[in-house]
Amino acid sequence: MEDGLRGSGIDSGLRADLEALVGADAVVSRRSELKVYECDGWTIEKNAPDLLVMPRSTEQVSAILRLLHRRGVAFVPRGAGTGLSGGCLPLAAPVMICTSRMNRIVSIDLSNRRVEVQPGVVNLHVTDAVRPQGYFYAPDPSSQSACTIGGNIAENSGGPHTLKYGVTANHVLGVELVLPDGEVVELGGPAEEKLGYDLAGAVVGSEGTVGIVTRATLRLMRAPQSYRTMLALFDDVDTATRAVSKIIADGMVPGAIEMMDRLIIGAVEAAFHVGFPPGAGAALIVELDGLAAGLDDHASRAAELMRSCGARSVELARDEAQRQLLWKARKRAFGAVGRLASNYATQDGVVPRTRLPDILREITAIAARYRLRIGNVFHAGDGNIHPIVLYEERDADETRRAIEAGREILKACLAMGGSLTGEHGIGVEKLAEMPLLFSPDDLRVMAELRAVFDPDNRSNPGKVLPRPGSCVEVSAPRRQVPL
Amino acid sequence: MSSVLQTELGRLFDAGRLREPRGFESAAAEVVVEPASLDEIGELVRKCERDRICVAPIGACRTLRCLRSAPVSAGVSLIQMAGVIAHEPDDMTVVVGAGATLAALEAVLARHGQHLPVDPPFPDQTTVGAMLGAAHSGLTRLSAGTVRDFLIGVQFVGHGGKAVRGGGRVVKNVAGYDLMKVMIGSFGTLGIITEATFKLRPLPELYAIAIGYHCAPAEAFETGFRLHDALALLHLELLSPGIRTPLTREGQYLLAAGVGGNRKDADYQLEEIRRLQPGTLILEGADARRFYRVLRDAELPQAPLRMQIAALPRQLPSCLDRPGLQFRAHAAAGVAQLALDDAETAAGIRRAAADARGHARVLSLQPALRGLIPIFDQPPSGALKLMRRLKAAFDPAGIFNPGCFVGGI
Amino acid sequence: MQSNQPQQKRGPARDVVDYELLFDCVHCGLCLEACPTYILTRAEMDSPRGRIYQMKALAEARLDADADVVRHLDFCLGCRGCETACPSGVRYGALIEQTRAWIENNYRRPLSDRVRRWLIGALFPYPSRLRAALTPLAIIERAGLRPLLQRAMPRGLREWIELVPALTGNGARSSTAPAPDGRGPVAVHHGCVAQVLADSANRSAERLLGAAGYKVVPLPRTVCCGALDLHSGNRRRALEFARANVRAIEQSGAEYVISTASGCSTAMAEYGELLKDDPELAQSARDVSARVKELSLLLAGERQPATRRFECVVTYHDACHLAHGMGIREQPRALLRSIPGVKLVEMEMPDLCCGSAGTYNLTHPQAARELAQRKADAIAATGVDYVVLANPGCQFQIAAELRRRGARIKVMHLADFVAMAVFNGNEAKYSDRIS
Repeated sequence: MEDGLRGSGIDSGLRADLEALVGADAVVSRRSELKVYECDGWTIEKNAPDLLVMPRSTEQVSAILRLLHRRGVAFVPRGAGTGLSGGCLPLAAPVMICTSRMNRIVSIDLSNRRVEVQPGVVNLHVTDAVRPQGYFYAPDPSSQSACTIGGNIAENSGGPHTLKYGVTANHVLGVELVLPDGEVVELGGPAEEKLGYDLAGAVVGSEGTVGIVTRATLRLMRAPQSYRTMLALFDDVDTATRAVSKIIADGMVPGAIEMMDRLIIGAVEAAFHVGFPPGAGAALIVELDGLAAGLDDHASRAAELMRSCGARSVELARDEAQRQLLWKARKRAFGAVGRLASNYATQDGVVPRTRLPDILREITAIAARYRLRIGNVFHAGDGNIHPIVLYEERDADETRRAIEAGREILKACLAMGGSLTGEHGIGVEKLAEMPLLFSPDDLRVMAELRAVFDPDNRSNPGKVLPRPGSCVEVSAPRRQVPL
Repeated sequence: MSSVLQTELGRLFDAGRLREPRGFESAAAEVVVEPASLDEIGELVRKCERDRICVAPIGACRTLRCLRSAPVSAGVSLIQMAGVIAHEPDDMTVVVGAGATLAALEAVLARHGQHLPVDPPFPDQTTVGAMLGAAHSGLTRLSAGTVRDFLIGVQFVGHGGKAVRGGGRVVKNVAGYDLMKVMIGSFGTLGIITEATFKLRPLPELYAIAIGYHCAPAEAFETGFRLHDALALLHLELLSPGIRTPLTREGQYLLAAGVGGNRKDADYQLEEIRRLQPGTLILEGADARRFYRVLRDAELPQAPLRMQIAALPRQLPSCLDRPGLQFRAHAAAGVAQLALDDAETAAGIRRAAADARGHARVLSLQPALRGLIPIFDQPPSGALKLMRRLKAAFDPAGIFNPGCFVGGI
Repeated sequence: MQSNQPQQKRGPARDVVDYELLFDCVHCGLCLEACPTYILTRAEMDSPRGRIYQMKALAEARLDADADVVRHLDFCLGCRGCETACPSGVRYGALIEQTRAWIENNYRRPLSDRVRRWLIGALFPYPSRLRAALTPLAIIERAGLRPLLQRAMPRGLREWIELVPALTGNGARSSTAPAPDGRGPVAVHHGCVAQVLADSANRSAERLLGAAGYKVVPLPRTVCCGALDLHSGNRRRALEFARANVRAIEQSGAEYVISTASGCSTAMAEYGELLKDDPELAQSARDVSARVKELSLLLAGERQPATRRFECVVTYHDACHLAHGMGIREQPRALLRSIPGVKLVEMEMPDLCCGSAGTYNLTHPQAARELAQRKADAIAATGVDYVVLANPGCQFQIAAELRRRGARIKVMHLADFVAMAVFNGNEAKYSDRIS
């Protein structure tokens, strides 16, 4: 089997020691069971761990990591395994530590708008716990009904509403981190100012390479009084992009601005019958939120701006049910596309918002060049694109073309002054492209930062930073539900 | 020493790049270097590393002279690297040299109806580098956040004189480790920040301030919290009677709530405020903007010691519950600046802040008090250990503003 | 767009499932928190995504059917909550049924397992056998000794017996004369276990349909719907049952067929798919499936019989197959809300399985009990007078759990609850009476 042992120090003694620490029901060592842990939402590369541990407390995590430290064994943390860049794929880590059982909301402090959670708490469950009182936790990745806060912290997750409210890093105030040697440290805290270096800020987005977060203090926000959600249809993405710029330049900060192109509109309509007219080249979902008093004026202003840019139609969701339908169409667009082909690969690139028409034209050209179908559904407000490359994984040539096309798209993003990833993370997927974005000095300093937490390189080794001189070859693109 | 250093550095730089410290700069640096390029800063850093010369960016020297009990050998002024490098109004991003003042940046952005909604006092004296290095913020942190929420890319010269970049120029980006977070609030101890990229926000359509007067701080805070919970305030400032503004009333605490949005948003909020706080005074238009600047720059009365505390917002009132204490508070954000008379009171405040899950930092102090009260709180031992490792990794020669940060870093 | 000539697709090594269906799963994980067993163990092997992964590995012969794999696949309740959560339209229900059938043919279970499965399979689908088996209990109950008996039993057995509702009087014939010129005609499929243990729901449904103006026709020669066998991998007998039911329903001339057990409704609604390769009955099965409706649908709108005012607070529990299999959530709630005086409040996760799941509470008592406890917690938090649901299995399961904790909340089948409101009936006549 391919899930061979890469690290050293694994023997039956380690299993027994781990079982003594956390109990036999929290250690998985049978190969047939470990198999399901061989990949996350990025399924191209697979590698099962040799052992899986499912701790229930900070003390257990600390004891596990002390043990692994003594034995010099590397580990990889895992939340719900919904990541899209292979962040929890064990590369050279024999032991996987899954935090899914640490799913307790430790405390809720509504008056200070703080909540303390264990890392296995599901993103949406945080909001669920405070919604009745009129609060919410802002970052809302599309996987929010399954992904965990620990995973969100590792990947610095975003979501449609990050346009207005920011990403995970903007909402994590403090963490309790177990270092790779087992020491438990408190970084940051519930106050707004930092004391000393902002190490909690450095932990967010570190993709599991600095130890394991066992508790996090999150900021809650007051739920908006009201929403206005609009669907606008355009002839092409150029005019739709101009409308996006107009709205933002006008002084409004919408909660979300999402765009779908022709291929996606067709797929969504075929699957869900939302009522998109045939032939629309681009659809925008614009959501404004805030105080009820001025929202209608904002909405009519936004509608007016979109019409002035050439929107064919602008429709306001009449009620909450219609709003939910629009979001369902948007969030399930990927599922709909999945029905067009047996596989699809989603890229996650970023360009300056004004370059959206350029990158979309470039994507069209790339699709033609590689004889592929590529659809686009993305966060238009912040220039975060998600091209969906359709392919058939059992067709080796088409698979190869899909990988190549994905890489070309990323390079095109970089050429336009963009980035490799807006919210999915580097993981293993984009390791090879990191040197295109960062200089050797940038990468060296990042490695120094990493070593502050993990000097022995035992926490999720091989991730984020390419090893100098090495080039990770990705064998096939992924199929997934992104963002 | 100073002249020897000048000679040494003179070999590296044109005469025009070196100067004597002016005014209170002398408390912070023995010589001031004004490099004009990354290469020059790199040269300087390598020289300093070779010869163990301490170096620190000085900005306007307001923070550094409080931090340091003795001046660094070489102060770096980035006045030559103060340009707006790229403003993309449609993308709402700006790249700016660290030497630029916030006022200069604001002027460029305002022409396009945009701003960087981070508003520490005295923008004409505060450089971008200083704002990042000292994590300065202002009143709109309540609604917009702090500089950490707007910095999307950073460049600094680190050890070996190498220029390093983190982040990028796009508003959403998770590629690589977050060097921005590491550099913000590092007080010049990890390198010299040379350039910053920010995301921007549109200026609000309307802006108004609602002012209320209260006899006691507890009552003022309570009202403020009620307003904050009910509305979407841009800011909520509470000034004690000793902080003089044109609208100060004798012996009264002044509570200033900022509202924005469109006409209906503003009217609704002002109406609510009037209902919740009878006797509210409303400022709009130019009056509001003028008073905003007053609030932003409001200074604590002269005092031997000034501190900033951060705490859980609802616990902030208990930290400030001392008769006659003069303070200005970003009330709902849980941050306040205080004027204090002696080290003993400061120690009490520090304990109160810690009890409220926060901490305190000295902003300025009379020379006589130096050494009697630490500038920073001590971070928990685990965190401090990591901070020391970070310092050692980023500054192996120990030349970047050493010895005055948390834990003596 | 130019099309490519796909190369030869790689096929599976083993015929475990309809292999192409596996490719609908994109491994996104959105199903995890919708899965009751994942919620219990928080382990990937016990999640829908993990099970699909195991199925694929089985099909590709990268994994062998060993005790671990079988344990994780058995552990699935078959609630299909994951199908609701899935954005890609994965047909998990079909996949797990096929895999279970393959396991039964390719894996030798330990003896105790085989005996238990044989017993369940030999007993439950046959009402006469089940009645006979329950006779001693019925006698004890009539003698008033059932509480005593339950107390005397060891815990495991006691929890099973607690699931059995009151046996006395439950089969009382109270049928209504069908309206002679009524709409319809409608037939009520009485099920197997349901007609022994929950016949009042069948009778109530028939009365309500009559009152709504439907002509109710009998279904004399129907048998168990086959869901039990499908879920446990006995596909052959399931097909036999399906054929018998298709023939019987066709002969009855019923335009609509309903069942008061949601699992049976779903199974019958999927006969068309199940028998699609049957040379003789494929078309009839499709017709029959199209006729399967839910009671609340037939009682909606103008057809709804007039009800009296009935002041109470109610919560509605979504039976899995109704919500996830047939997508019926709103109609039963609308029916409840339409009764004057009824206040409907929602519990947390109303569509999370209660652990009943066919015979799951017999094969996996511990997991079933934990899910029942969660469900009872969610119900208790609402402060209602009644829990209404549309599946007898859920009714037994939830009622047993609420009884154990001495809660005064009544559990009623939707048909019984509405009948009570329409006919001003006595609650005791319809509800579970053991307390």
